[in-house]
Amino acid sequence: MNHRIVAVLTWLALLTLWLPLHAAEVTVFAAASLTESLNEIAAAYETQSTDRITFNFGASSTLARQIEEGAPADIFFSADEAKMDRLEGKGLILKETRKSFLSNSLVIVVAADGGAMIESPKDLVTDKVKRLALAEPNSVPAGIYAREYLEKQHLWSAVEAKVVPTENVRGALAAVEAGNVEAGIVYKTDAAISRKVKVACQIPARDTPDIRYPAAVVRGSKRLEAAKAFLEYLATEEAGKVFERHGFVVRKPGSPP
Amino acid sequence: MTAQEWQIVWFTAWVAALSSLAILPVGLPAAWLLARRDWPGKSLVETLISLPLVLPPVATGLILLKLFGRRGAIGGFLHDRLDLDVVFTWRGVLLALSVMSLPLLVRSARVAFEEVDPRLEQIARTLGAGNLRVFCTITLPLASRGIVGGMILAFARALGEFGATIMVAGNIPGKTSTLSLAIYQNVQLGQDAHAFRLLGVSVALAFMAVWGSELLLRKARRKP
Amino acid sequence: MSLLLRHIRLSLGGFSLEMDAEFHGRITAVFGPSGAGKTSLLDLVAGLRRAQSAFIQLGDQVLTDTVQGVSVATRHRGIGYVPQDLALFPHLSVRENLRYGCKSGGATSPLFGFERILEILEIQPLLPRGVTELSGGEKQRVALARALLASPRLLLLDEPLSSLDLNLRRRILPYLARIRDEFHLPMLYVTHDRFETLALADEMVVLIDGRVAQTGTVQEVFSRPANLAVAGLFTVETVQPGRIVKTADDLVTVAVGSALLTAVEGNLPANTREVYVCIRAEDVILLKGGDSPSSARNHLAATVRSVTREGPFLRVEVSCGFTLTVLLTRQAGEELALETGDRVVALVKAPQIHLIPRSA
Repeated sequence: MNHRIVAVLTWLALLTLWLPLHAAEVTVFAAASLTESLNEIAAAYETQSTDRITFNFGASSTLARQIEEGAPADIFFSADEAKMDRLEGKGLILKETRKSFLSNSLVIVVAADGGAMIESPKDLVTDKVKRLALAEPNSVPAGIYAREYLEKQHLWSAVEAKVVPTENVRGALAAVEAGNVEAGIVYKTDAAISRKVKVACQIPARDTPDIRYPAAVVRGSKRLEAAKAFLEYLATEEAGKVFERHGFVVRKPGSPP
Repeated sequence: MTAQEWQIVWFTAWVAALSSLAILPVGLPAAWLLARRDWPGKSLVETLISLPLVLPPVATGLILLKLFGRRGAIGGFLHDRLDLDVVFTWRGVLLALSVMSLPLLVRSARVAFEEVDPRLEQIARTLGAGNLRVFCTITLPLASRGIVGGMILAFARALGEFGATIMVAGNIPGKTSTLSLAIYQNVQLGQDAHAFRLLGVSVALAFMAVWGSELLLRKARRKP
Repeated sequence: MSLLLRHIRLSLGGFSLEMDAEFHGRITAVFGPSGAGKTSLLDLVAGLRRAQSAFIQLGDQVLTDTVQGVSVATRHRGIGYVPQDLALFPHLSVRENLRYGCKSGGATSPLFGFERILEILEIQPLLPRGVTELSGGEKQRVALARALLASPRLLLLDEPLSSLDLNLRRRILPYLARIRDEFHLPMLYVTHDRFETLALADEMVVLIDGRVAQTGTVQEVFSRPANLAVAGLFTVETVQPGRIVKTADDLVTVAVGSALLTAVEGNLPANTREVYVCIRAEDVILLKGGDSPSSARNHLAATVRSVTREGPFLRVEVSCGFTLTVLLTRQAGEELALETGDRVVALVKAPQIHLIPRSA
């Protein structure tokens, strides 16, 4: 009789050890603009699954670089296709898991109190704006999108000298909040999270460059199944509602760009 | 090396040199006071001056950003009254470099002052010299080697400054981009060739600075 | 010019310096063993130190008065200082050191004449040299000249010769005497050497453990020490004024009182006439009951004036044309059975008589 009790207890103990080990921790490298929405989605996911989700938010360019150097990411959620293409070209992602279902829009923001009076994007070239904060316009997606927009509007050459490049899009937001720059161009979703800035003008959809947020599982991920599972979840309607609530535009998978 | 890269090198060198000069009017009197006088609150000042040595540079940068930003205590005054901006300009770079390298100068200068025999200063007074004259003709010349050594240390530190600089001045091409910031930037962009060229220049500059200070030390040792 | 040092109280580590004195002489020697507070006293007079209590007045000017809160800054006191370690500025040349105290703008040339000082102290050839290349004696003279060129009203010297060897000392002494004679500059001269004191000072103050043990003229203090402690500082019992009457080879004949002594010349400056004759009591041998040839050059017929016991010794004062003090072991004294009035012969070897130049 005693032997059996010991055996059962040992088996239970091993089970309790095995379960957490078996429950995976999925690491997601995601664009900074996704911070609030992904945190919320992950919290909801964790109530349904034993897996844990951890995030590394930053500029997609930085994250891509880190993955290239071997950082232990399971999922890469980028703010533009170029970074994902680069990784795919190097064979660093699982092509078949790549999805693109999120989009965003750009806004010009100014400080909420006493901010500059910007009525249209053309005001950016005037003296009202001495300094304009953008995410690094050559590498970070938010900055690239902003530059592409300004170039298309023939405003870039006049504005280029005023640009204060920041590490990522949130850095641009912070600069506007602190009042160290008169204006900044960030995602609409970023402007929404800060009460210290207000939207001076929204860039209309027809003028906005094609903003896309692709996501994929990183090759070499040690938690393949868990990663795929979470990626699937991100594309569900449940997750989509959270994204929309934060101001993102959710595309149906397979719908035209 | 492209023209832009040379611009970064020259900019870095001259702002670092300027900062080594800019810290003198604050650093030397502070070092002298710490070496020669005792006063209530002295240990507080000693600690404050040493802080940038011990704090993570980005932490120091953050403090400077808050103080000198347009809404900051000092920055606000400068912006509103004097129409002067510090954050995100070359002045921000100068500020970051100066604050980070000041403790090195103060430490070296303080030791140099302490090593000047106070008897010499006293005798100079009996010969009719006032405090300023004693400082300029006796104390300073005798401490000069240690002070110059401190300035070289400060210069070398300023050359390599990153954390505080990126906080306070950002990395604006052509305006606030220093060698360290540019190297970081190039690595981010995947432009490793650029990064390595700039790295080469950094090594060369650092080498010259340390070599120069060694030469000075050797001269000091040779003199009887 | 008089120097008043009143109500001085300065605490120094384990003891305190206390003094209440007035000095009027040309050179006042501050005499005492090391650690007696002599350097601190000079620092006080120069304004380099503050005392718990002090009143210092030089001539008409009050320099320090702790009661009234008066403290004239060092630079305005006009007091020259030659410290023990000389404190020559190592980064300046000799010329620059000398010029340091001269008033700039050529308003007044130094009180004592630049050229004259250089001449007296013979430092003209040293001018372009660096301070670190100088010998001990040269440094001494430069430090002296530097202080003088600042036109001081009072000169403080802290054991200026103590770090020099005997030869050098004898050679620099005359320079100091020349300074005294030519410039009439009052000096406070710290020393623990009796010969320097005799040679240069008129007055002296004896400091022991921070207290004034005795003041007076040099003659008085040396020949009549106030107490055993003071006497213990001097180890020469007989100090008498004398005059050189003849020099032959390296022997000199000195008239002391009514006696004639033969002494060795020993580095006296040429043409010295007036001297002090110093004979240590233990260097004298007494013969009783007739004279005999001996190697000693000096045989003095003497009469015993007093015999005193001093522990294991006998101190015998004899009169031989001047007063001579002799120290004998008690045993020797008993064997000779010395009593007051006895006739004896005092023997002194020529090299045991020390001569010191004396200003008349």
